[in-house]
Amino acid sequence: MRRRQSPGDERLTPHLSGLFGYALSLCGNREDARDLVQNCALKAFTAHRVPSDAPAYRTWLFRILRNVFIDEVRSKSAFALCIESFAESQPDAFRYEESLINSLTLKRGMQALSLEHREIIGLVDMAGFTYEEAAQLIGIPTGTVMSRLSRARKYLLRTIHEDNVRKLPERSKGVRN
Amino acid sequence: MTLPRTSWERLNAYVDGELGPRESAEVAREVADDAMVAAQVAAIAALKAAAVESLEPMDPAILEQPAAPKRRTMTWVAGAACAILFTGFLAIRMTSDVAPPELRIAHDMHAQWILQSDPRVEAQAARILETSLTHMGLVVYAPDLSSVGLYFAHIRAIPAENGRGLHIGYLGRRGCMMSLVVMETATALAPGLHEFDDDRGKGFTWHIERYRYVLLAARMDPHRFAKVAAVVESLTRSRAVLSGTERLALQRSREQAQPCAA
Repeated sequence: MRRRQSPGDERLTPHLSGLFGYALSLCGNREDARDLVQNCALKAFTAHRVPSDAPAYRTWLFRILRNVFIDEVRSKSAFALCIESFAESQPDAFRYEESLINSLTLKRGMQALSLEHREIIGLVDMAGFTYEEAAQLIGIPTGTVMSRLSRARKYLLRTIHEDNVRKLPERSKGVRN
Repeated sequence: MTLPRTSWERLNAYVDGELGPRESAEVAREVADDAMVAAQVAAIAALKAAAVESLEPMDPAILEQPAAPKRRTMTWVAGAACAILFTGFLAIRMTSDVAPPELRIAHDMHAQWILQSDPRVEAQAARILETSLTHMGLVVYAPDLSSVGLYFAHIRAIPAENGRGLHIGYLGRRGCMMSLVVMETATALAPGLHEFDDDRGKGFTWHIERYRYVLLAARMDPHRFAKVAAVVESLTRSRAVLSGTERLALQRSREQAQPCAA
């Protein structure tokens, strides 16, 4: 039986893609991300108090999704598995090729990131939160959002670069095809 | 090659529109003056654009089937699936005619893996698996169990002195570590799934064509392990992906089981 669309649906629907992008950045796979968005929607529909203004409503939705995710994995080892994937290092020579960056290489690169790095990219780049909004949502200082995001992007660029750049075989000199 | 004058963090904030007007103008000047800074800003902007581009439109119909009610309405399906799997489990034979060398190798590979100090899901594990199979010429099949919480985490060839084969490690989010060891062997085994319990632990084994499959799991709930084994045996035999019924049943058994890490 189809559920009738409620006013809550109308408010939530515009955020679905952003929620799914954020959920995907947290879970790393579509099935879990879909379940997460569904659980988030269920909680939002059954909530007694719903923020009235649009920005607060959006932050509230994403916080619900984040809390559902944390509840689901709190007793699990998922967080422990997602510690930094790369050793900290300063960016040396800049060697990233813009042409390698696209949605496909980004998706692959995201898989190699830690949970906290995937999350910050999901919030800022996919869901469009400001640093301050993301900081409030996660519960960390704005400065931490800035440093975490910049590190996440650095790792992502490195992963994309290392995953894609292959040395072409050298051509034999003097041979024409 | 010169290092950029502007910090990486500041460039990120610039691209994100997080700097004030004065700082933003400063960075804009640096972008205009320094090709390296400009390249970094372009890369950050490209990442942002790719992230937006990667967003998939979500069908609002998802709201018509929230997760929890869906599970309730599907209870009978899950129940039926459990019944099927339970029936399958009853058909598992307790066996003592399993050739010991395969079990020893499987136990060794499994033990080496779980003793690693920092097991983690390898992002490229699925690709490594595919490459390994192609490279080694093995015609084995390792099912994707990620939808039931078990992820490809570890792929290694078994030591050459033991013949040709692969150890595939699945890692769960609740601390489960399950090994599927596949080896070429001339020793046939009666058809079906065989449970064994030797001095190194319990497991399941089966034979398909010229391959022996051994499944081991550290601290996994025995009922869940048996159900997973029945499904994995079936999938490796049919080379199929998890059906909706199997997935539901395994998800249900996972929910009911104690976490491996508990």
